[in-house]
Amino acid sequence: MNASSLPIRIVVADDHEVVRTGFAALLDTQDDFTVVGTAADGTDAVRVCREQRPDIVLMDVRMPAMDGIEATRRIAGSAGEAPRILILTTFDLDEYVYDALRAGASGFLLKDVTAEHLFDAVRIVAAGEALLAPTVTRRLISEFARMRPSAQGKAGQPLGSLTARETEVLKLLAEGLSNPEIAARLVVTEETVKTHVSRILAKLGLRDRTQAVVAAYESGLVVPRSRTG
Amino acid sequence: MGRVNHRLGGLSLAVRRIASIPHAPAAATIVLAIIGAAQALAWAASNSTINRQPTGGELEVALMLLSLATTVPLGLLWTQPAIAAAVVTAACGLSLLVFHTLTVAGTAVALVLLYRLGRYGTPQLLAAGLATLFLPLALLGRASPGVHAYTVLLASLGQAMAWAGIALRARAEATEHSAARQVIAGSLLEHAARGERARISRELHDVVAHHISMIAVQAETARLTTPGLPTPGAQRFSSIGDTARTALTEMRRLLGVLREDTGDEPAQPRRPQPRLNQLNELIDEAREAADTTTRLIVRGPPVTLDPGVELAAFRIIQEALTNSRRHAPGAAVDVELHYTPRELRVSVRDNGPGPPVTPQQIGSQPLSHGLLGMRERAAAVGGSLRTGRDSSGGFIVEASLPAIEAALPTSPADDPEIYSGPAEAAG
Repeated sequence: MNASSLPIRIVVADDHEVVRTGFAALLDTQDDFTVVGTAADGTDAVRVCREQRPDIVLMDVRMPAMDGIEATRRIAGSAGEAPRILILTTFDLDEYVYDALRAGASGFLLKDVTAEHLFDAVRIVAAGEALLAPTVTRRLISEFARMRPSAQGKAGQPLGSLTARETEVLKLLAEGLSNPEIAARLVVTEETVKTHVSRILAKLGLRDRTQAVVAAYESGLVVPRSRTG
Repeated sequence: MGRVNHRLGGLSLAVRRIASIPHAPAAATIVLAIIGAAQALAWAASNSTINRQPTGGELEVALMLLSLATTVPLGLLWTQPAIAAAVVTAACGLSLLVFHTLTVAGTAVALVLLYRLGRYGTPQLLAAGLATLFLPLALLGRASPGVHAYTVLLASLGQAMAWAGIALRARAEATEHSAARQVIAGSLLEHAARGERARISRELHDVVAHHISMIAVQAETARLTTPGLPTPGAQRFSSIGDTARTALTEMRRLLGVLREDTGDEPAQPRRPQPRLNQLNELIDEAREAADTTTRLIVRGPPVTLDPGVELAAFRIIQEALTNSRRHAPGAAVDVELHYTPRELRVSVRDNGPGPPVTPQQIGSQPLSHGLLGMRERAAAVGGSLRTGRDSSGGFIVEASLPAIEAALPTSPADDPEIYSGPAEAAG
């Protein structure tokens, strides 16, 4: 999606200098990345994003003044082409995952990620792909199961504009399948799946696949399965 | 009083031991019945001799039956104390009224039953009511002075026994209640202590996890951004990073367990664990919330201490401020940090009414949970905590925490410059 000639513009927001400068230095070693700013708290992050218009924000959750999830909500909700946000956490994801995704985050990264994973993650999210590891998807599902035990009732409501085929693609997407996997399942080419996905995103006004997954769960299109089922 | 109680206790123990012999009640009833009947017969015999009246045996029979009516109901002592007491009282009354006499056995049974009814029976006040029936006999009695004195004695002793039973019962019930209350309070405290310990432990692990992740970040940064780093060096950094990641995986598992122990906790905080450089904010909040004078006094050269110690100090101050607000609303509060080379002394004192006077008061207030938590916090970092009455009469919380200096400031914001400002402004 992104033009390969232009580097991906990145902002790093973390209240710890070590993380901020460390990640910025790491990212700058890649030719296709450029770190355009850093922020020490949520308020700062919102301001830097407004000024720099980055493609990607690496956002810490625990920050003084304004936490990373609130900052994510403000940045993702800003006018125009909002940056995609990768949440950085030291801890396990359970407690943040739901709030962060609702706030508009596109993926999660642990702070102790290896440099190679970090680079991959940034490229994936910049391309609009979902960055949800199977474990994260599983957590997301159980979180929805806990929070919305009766989501079924509202099924189909906001997704009415999708064709039957697109709905099917969205369902598979929400189960955590990649494009090639969806293509194999539906016996179509990967190109066709990509077309479907971008139509789904356009019709529902979503930023990326992660948000499409959230929308699928929230609308009740996909009902979290209980472990016994 | 204590000795009397003690002796009574010994006596009641002995009585209880005898009473617990399987056939003791029945045996006692039979023995008393026989003694009573014998005395009645003896009295009838002597009476008829004195009066020289032919009785034809009716007097003996009537007295015998009445005497048995005053003693035999003792057999119902355990099962029907109310009925037994009523029958015996009536029989005693009748005996005194008609024959102007009462056997010693009947008197003893009446007294025992009245006591027993007051102590264990229902309705317990019936005992006092029954004992009162002897009163008119004592007041209006036309019997000989000897018998009249005996009736008066019975009326007063009967009342005394009935009320003794009632009083002992009330005391036993009160003791039972307070024992139950203490058990509940104890287990609540224990529960709170366990939750508090889990929370403290979680917060400390949180701090450690953060540091380990910093190691991982720095190892990766060094590996890829150090110019001219030879391959072996890169490999070393790589393995440092791997070790940190492994440690973190374990840490996360541990944190998961600790979180289960504090299940009723609010969701994972989105703020970093607080340190002393946020103390001004905390005191500002306290000042606004309580609308009173809250001062921060810093003595000695402030240094950045180990994050665990600073966290403990922060939480202790936070809890102490909350306590002051709750128990001494409107009181002025002084927060003091005293840095010495060996320790950080933290004190929070207010000019309120001071600590509650009796232990019961402390136990009945949520205050004790807070104190417990503060003590656990201090102990967790190798310090100690004291609470009590300040020299000025208010409440004081004092903690001594070891002054372990932080190995490295983790961010420039950790500089203790924050204390340089005049923090004494009053609300």
